[in-house]
Amino acid sequence: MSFVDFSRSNGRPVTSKLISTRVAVAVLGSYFAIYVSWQLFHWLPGRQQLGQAFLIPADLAAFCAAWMAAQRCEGSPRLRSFWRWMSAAMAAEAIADIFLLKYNIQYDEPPFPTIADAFFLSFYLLLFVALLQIPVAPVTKAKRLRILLDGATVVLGGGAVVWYFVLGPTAKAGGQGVLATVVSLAYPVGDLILLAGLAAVLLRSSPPILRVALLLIAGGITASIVADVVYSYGVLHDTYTSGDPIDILYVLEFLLFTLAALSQRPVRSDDQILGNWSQPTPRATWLPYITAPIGFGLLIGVESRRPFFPDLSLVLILTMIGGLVAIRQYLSLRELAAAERARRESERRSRAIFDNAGVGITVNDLRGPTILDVNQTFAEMVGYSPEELRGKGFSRLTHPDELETFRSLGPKTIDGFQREIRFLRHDGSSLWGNMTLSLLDDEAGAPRYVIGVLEDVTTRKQAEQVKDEFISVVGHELRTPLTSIRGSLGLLEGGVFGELPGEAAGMVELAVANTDRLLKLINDILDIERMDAGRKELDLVPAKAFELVGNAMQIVQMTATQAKVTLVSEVPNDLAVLVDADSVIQVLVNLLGNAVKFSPRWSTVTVAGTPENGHALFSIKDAGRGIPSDRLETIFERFRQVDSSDAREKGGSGLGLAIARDIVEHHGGKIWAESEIGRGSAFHFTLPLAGQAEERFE
Amino acid sequence: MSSRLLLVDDEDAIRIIASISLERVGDWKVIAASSGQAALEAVQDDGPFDAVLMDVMMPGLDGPATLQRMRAGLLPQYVPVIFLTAKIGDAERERLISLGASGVLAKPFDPMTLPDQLEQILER
Repeated sequence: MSFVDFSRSNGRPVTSKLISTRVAVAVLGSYFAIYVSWQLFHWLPGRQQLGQAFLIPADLAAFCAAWMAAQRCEGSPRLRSFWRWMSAAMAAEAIADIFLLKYNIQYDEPPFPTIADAFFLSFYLLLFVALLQIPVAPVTKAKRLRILLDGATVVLGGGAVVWYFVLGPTAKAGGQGVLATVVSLAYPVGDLILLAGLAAVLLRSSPPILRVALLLIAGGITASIVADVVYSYGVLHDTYTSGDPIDILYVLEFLLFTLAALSQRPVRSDDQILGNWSQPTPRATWLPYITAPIGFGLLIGVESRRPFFPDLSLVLILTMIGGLVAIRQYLSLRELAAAERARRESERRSRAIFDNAGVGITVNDLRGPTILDVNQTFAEMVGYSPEELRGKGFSRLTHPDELETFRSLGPKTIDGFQREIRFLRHDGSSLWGNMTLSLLDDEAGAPRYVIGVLEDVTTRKQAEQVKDEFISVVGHELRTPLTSIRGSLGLLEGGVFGELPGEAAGMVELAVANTDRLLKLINDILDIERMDAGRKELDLVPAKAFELVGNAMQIVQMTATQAKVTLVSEVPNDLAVLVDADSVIQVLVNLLGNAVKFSPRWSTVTVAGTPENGHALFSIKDAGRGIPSDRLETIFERFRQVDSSDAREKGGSGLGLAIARDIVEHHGGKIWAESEIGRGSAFHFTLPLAGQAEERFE
Repeated sequence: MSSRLLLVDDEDAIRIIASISLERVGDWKVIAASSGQAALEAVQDDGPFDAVLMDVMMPGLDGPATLQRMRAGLLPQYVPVIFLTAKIGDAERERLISLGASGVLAKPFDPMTLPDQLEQILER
């Protein structure tokens, strides 16, 4: 385990290779334990010197850790600068402690102030500057004012305590030299500065990458402030000497700083910390609510033991804190009221959209299934008033034929559900609706509400039905007389009633050819209509490709023979496809028929089939006149022939390639053409391969 | 002697063309009926037949319903019944065969090849 385990980045922990957390905690913890046990039992003599000496390794550890943290943040100037100032502060403290140790060894009663105090005081300033280097999230103007007020409350809360116990008495006591008094006063002021720096960081949002380090640093600074107040109080009443138990807090402070520095993961760039403000650490808005009451409580507790004679300065500070809190509260309330107004406004807008939407909208409780709300349009669609539906079960709207649909709907299938289904109107009639469902989570993130958007497609459905029937009837009614015409002509042409004179035979032949063309056109139109309406259902079964091609060739063979064109199949025996055989034969017949039609005499049309990229690729090549490149796409559109005279000359319906494309695309495949003018054309299409298991279906 | 075939179709024109095709191009003796009901009567009165060629879509008793009645004792099981239909496709073919048809011929048909196609089915 390493430090970074509690500050993951995108769920991927980055391990610090320098030192493992276990080792660091073990070493620092042991050192602290040894020190505390010495404080308790004094198993080595020399309290004043040894007590001071114990502080130095903690300072140095913090210095080294901060320096190394700065190295790890090479890529981020902001963080590197923070850790460099931190290490400078730690160095100042270490130097100060070494000087103090020297004085403690030299004198029984060390002088005050000394050069050590200069370094001690610079520690505060350096640490304060370090805190100011921490990148924080940008804040709005209104927030900035509140952060300022909060910060002032925190500093005044601490200030009250510091003033009451240390600053006030020190200032009043006198007796020392001016320099000594000023230096004594400088310590508690330094603490207040640190408190201000800490508040400035914690009251704003800092990068998540610094969360652990900041918590540890905040702990260290808190220890420092408490220790300093007690220390200054001790100095004031002449009870402090080096090695005092309060030093435990100083050791603790620097061990916490050390841990903070060790927890710093390597940072490659500023973007890594600054670019990701989407989830910065939460602001410590609670801070003033902790520090102010602690200050209040402490002062009132101590003050109440004295005869009632309130300290005027104290009353002033407490009044200021009260005033700050009041202003802060007023601002919060005002913001809440504004947020509430904005929320109501937004609610009103949403409601207007809901009420006036041209589609029906219903909100349902997933646990119900109860209708929580419907809009006017929805209610009108199903023939109720909105009031009649709210709070009622959805089952009254469920069409008997759609029970299965509703039963199949679960939390996993609801979201994104979209289908045309029937609903039961109030008067018992059916409503065809295009229903789109989506899930809405509750506060806890569990799916709770189902939002249904309903579009009335009854009219369209009815029109479709009428159109379907119409096409079916027209198809049948057209085909029946054509069958008779074709039959009669066939008998005439076949010479059943005797040989026809030359010109008459030609006319009958013409009539037969055009009747065939008309029949083909009607069949093609019916086919394409069926496919459009999605009523052409594919019966997918594994089939051998060479058999499909063989069947298609048989159908085209007669035409090919007449046109003196040779058909060649190069489809391997082991290529199997998962297709609707009839439809695929139709595609092949259309493409082969075209190829034969446009091939010169004595040329060859080849059909090839190969597995490619998980599909079966079929290619039909001819040596015909070719297709201009700008037509390669449009020939797959309906009634688009390369040359409009083709329809007459070659007898095509103009729908063959459109049908082929529909069928191939229904199978999830693609169809396209390649051509070289004067050299020939190649039509390619892909079909799904039959699975491994089905390949040996014989 | 020519085999006897019962031709059932509600369209006069189809009956005429198919009869001529089967009798002159082929070598059948055709008895025509214009409805399912008429076909049932013909089976009883003008039998026996060697084969039945019947339209699927007819008003009143349609092809499959007529076949069902015929198979219920009027027509010996060994007499093949072949349907003539405008609806092509494997599914429809299988449906009709599962109803007891021996084969299915597509409409429109070529009168010059109709007898051959019929012969092919009967040989199976």
